[in-house]
Formats: sequence, C-alpha cells, structure tokens
Amino acid sequence: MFRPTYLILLAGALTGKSSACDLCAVYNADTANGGAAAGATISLAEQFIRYDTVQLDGHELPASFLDEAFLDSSTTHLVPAWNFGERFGLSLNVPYVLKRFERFELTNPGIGSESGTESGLGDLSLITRLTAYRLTGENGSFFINLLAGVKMPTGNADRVAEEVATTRALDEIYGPGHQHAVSGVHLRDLTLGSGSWDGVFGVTANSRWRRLLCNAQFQYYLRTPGESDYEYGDEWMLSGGPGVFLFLRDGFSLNLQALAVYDHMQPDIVLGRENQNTGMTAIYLGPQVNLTLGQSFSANLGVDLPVEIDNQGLQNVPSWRLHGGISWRF
Amino acid sequence: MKSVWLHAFAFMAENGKLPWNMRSDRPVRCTPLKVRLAVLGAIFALVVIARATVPHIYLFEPINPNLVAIHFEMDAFRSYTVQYTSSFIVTSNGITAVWTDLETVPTFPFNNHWVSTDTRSATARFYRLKVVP
Repeated sequence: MFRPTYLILLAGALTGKSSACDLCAVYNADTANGGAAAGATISLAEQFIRYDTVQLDGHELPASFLDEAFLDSSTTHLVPAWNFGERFGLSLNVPYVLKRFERFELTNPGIGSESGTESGLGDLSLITRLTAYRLTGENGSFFINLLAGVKMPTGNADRVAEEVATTRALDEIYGPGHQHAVSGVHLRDLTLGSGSWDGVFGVTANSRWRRLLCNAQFQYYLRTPGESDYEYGDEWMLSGGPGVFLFLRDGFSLNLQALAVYDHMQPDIVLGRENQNTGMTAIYLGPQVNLTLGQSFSANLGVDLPVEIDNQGLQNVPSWRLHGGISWRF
Repeated sequence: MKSVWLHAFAFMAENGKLPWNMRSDRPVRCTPLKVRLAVLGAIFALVVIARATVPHIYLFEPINPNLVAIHFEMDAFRSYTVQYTSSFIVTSNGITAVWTDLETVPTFPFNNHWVSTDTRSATARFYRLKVVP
C-alpha cells in the first residue's frame, strides 16, 4: 500500500555567503516521508552557489576588472537524525565547506589580487523538530512543524579575524567610515565559520492533496558577535511553492515543484558599526524535483535563479544556486 | 543658458505652442535652424565635458610621521596614475621634471574617491595625476 510519501524541502532556501542554511539540509534529512516515523535517518545534501555578478547598491555594474573576482561556494552537509516519535526529532548538521575564489584587496600602494581555496569543517548545528499539527488522510496530508536549534562555532573563523584586523588597520590610516572595498568578494565571505553561537528557528507548513502539493517555510537566523566581535547580520527567509506528483505509485514517487524564495540579510557589524558592503535582499525562482524510492530512499535536486537582488555596497551576488541531496531512512 | 531658453521660446512661439498667457503680438526674431542646432550641439558637448571631473589632488593629509595620504576623485572608466618628482629641472626649453609612478589605480565602473599613500622620507615631493582617457 502506498504510504503518504512526501518530501518536504527547504532546498530553495539557501542563505548568503556567510551561512550554510543549516535548516535546509537538516530538514531535507528529517522530513522525507513526512518525518513522522520513529527511527534514524542519514542524509547528504549539497548546496552550490556561484557568486560572479558584481553589484553596487542593487545595480549590476558594467564590465570592468571587478568581474574577474568570483566566489564558488560549496557546502556539503552530512545530517544524521533521529526521530523519537511522530512529533519529535533531533538532527545534527555537519557541514564541510569548500570555497574557491579570486578577489582584490587594497594594498599599499595599489590593489593586489588573491586567489585560492578555503576548505574544512563548517559550523555544526543541532536542530530539534516538533510537529505542532498533523493531519493525514487517504487523499492528502497537512503538517506544521516547528524547528529550533543552535549553531556552534566549530568552523575556522580566521578570515573573519583578518577582516576585522584589516578594517582596524585601514581605519588607523584613513579614519573610520571610509569605503575600502575594491572587490565584491570580501574576507568575511571566505570564512568557514563565524565564530559565534547563533540561534536557528523555523516554521514549516506542508500540504498534499491527491497529486498536488504545496509548502511554505519561514526561517530565522539570530546571529551573535563571534570572532573578533564581528557580528554577521540576522537573516530571515520565506520560501515555498506549489508542485505536482508526476508519478505516484507504491514505492515510487516523483514530483516537480516551483519554488520561490525571499531572503533578507541584515548588514554585519564590524568594530561596532555597520559593514557597508554587507546586507542583501534577494528573490529567487526555480524548479525542484523530488524523488522517493521504496520506504527508505529519497532525493531532491533544484536550482534557484535570481529574479531580483538588492544589495548594499559592493558585493558579488549569486548568479545561480544549485541544491540537492539524498536521504536514507533506517 | 538664458539664451537657450530664449531660443526655445522663440521656436515655440513660432509654432504657436506657447501658452496663451505668454503669447505676444510683437514680432519674434527667429534664429535659423542651423544656428539653433549648433548652439544645442555646443551645449551638449559642454555638458559632457562638464560631467567629467577635472583631475585634481585636493588634499594632502599627514597620517603619521611616516605616511601622507593623497586624496582625489575618480570618474568611472578612467584610469588614474599618481606620479611624483622630487625636483624640477630648468632648461633652455623651459622647466621639466622626471616623473615616477607612485600608484596606478585601475579603471572602476563607478565614480570613486581614492586615497593613495606615500612615505614621508623625502624632504619635498611634488605630485600630479595622469588620467586616461
């Protein structure tokens, strides 16, 4: 008999350069098949973001040497999870971060370039899930889940320390408030971890009726001061969209979704004042396919294309984002 | 600028396009079309030129006993090179100098404020900006 198989995904809701969308990967793992049955789940999720569009205060800049700067950010999440019952679950998000980049920086005198790769363990997150409302029937289902957790400062935050040290050194020369950015890729973008303990919160609603499905997610990331008292800006996002099951059989399902994402990031705080080249509001649209095989295996793959990005200062913003994952329930 | 408006009014009056309360029965002197176009072209050229900032080092700021900051504004899509010389040479053809590049700033796609720094090791230095194009 077909079990109400249902992938609930936040995969479209990737965050900006600083974070790794802890809830997205956790929820991918935890909520395949409704996230309702007790037992263990393990998931592997990948988020790749290409930052190669240079924008100044929300406007794409004409071609220049700044276009040579880029950042390819890849975060692979390993997510072991345990559902203690139908209503309560616990997940650990272990991210491995890989960032390939080329950027420019102010030197004395002139402008120098730097290219390379940063890789290693990112910031771990521990997330709890509570199913606040659950309604299942023969033709459909409806869930509301509450998520809360904490992100720990396990990733290397040396690049954040470098950002603060550079800002302090330039302040001493030019005075506070001067704009020092000569590249859309900044030191804070290269970090593996923020060095801070952050709060992670989310609410998700998921529904299915016969072959139709629709979901919506709200996530909030509460940042605190971390490495060298640098504080990443708080972030919240709203995402979701309708979908349809192309195949819906016992032991096999494939659905296609249209996802929309609204992502808002507050500016960071450095040396007690706003970092002028941080903060962004973005809207993405994109398709996503979700697959389940048997009672244990699920997979998803999607892409986000930016519709509008309003950023502050000089930043490289995403030109596209790819996300996918596989999950196995024991 | 005043003459431009006079030409515009003359043209409008000629074609009966002036508002009723600005019309006059007095005859209006009409400038030939070629002259009008030449005036408008000259104004357009002046506006274009005026939009480009005249290269100008507007501030020398001692930062500490070892460094001096050199401030200037940059136009988009123009490359700026800060040059210095320690002395001028008087020749029969006039005054010359050997200029050395201190810093070449790449072409930015937006207007920018730039601050170059130089050491204060020399007794005296003269600076200039070389701008392309």
